Amino acid sequence: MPLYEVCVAARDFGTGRASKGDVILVRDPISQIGQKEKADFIWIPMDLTEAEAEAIQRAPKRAFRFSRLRDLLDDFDDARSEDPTDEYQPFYNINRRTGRARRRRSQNQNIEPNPNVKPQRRPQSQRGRDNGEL
Amino acid sequence: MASSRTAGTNENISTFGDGTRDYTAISTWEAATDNVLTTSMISEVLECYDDSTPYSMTSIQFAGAATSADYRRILRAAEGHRHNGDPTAGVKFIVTGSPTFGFRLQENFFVLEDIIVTVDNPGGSTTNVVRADLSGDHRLTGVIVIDDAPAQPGSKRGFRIFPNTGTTILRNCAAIGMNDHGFFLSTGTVNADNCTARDNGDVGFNRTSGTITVRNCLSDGSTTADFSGTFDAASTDNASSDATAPGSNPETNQTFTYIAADDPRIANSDVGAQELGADLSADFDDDIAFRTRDVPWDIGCYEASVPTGSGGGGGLAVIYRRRRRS
Repeated sequence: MPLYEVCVAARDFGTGRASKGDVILVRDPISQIGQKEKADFIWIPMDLTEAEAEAIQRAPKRAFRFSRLRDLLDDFDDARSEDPTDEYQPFYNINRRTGRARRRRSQNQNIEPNPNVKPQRRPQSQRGRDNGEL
Repeated sequence: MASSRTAGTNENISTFGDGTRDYTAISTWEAATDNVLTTSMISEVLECYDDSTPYSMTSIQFAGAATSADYRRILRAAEGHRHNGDPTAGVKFIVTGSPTFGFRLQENFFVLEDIIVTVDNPGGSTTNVVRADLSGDHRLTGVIVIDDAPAQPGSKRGFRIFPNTGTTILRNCAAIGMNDHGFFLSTGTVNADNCTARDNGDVGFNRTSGTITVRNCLSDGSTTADFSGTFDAASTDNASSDATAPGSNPETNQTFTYIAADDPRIANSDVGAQELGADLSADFDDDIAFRTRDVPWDIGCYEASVPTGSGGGGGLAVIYRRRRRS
């Protein structure tokens, strides 16, 4: 299965439109994380089929339960992930100057979105979705 | 004199590009700046660098921030990384996945400047490459939408603009080679100034409803018609390769000469649009390449024959213009 980079909001943002656990982005790996993308988001490498990647991109709000990340990564620190001053990226080693990201070996297995919620259409106020108008 | 570009009040500038920049994805900047800007009293700006263009991305929707004419969100190419009218240069985004839109502006006062956008649409759906709706007062300047794969079954429209409030303004923008409309404008109030539609598969500038004003707009080689619909009476000095240029002082059935194929810039040798436009310097005074226009203005996004010192053109161009006037 191809590798994808899944970006998840690490905390609630200003207007509440993006909240902790929201999937912000699923992309082909570029192995680079921006200087301001380290503290606000958790980047997770995932081996997925194309259909799985698409389903995660369509995942509803708060699709990722951060408590489950601790099950998958023994030393996952939820408090650090919420700290806006902490460039906490438990799944990647990141070069501070170049932003180049290398996958950590300690990830136990693939991480899946909350299995209790199925992918669904987001309301039109959510990014990346269409309201059907043309 | 005023530039066609928009500056926000108290700009907080972040950068987009590779890992040395602030952001490697537009959607992360969009999420992180989704704030009440009218309270924080800052404008959030994302300046894009062509570190590894074209950037492949999924569709992006800008919405949610509380904005005003002073405090707004702006996405623009960084200085030194602009295309300056050349569709093979500068910051370019390829939106993949047969999306129904590429960049969607759904936030009042959002500004998009000096980037190139194309869409990979092999799936057969209709894609509005740059779409603005359910909001208003957007500003689009120097944006080029180009179809790199017109043979794909998917229908691609360049600009689909239908605001529901305020006035959306497009200046010095270009739609090139789309297999559907270049500019599809409707519903609200839209002004298109000095925009260029070239070789589009349906209509160059299509107005179906709303108060749509086109000034100094150039449409060439559209399959159905260069201009279609009833435009506002303030429309003036437009040019077309067929008989459809609307408004006052239309230049119809013109032949245009360009710098290159699939390029919106008219050449110095052009006689179809050069020096045939209205002077709009009461509103703005520059072209897609950031060069100050001179009177008489050219129609379309690019001012041919601008002297060196205004950003390009060169001395020979000055000589040419003086000869034409003599």
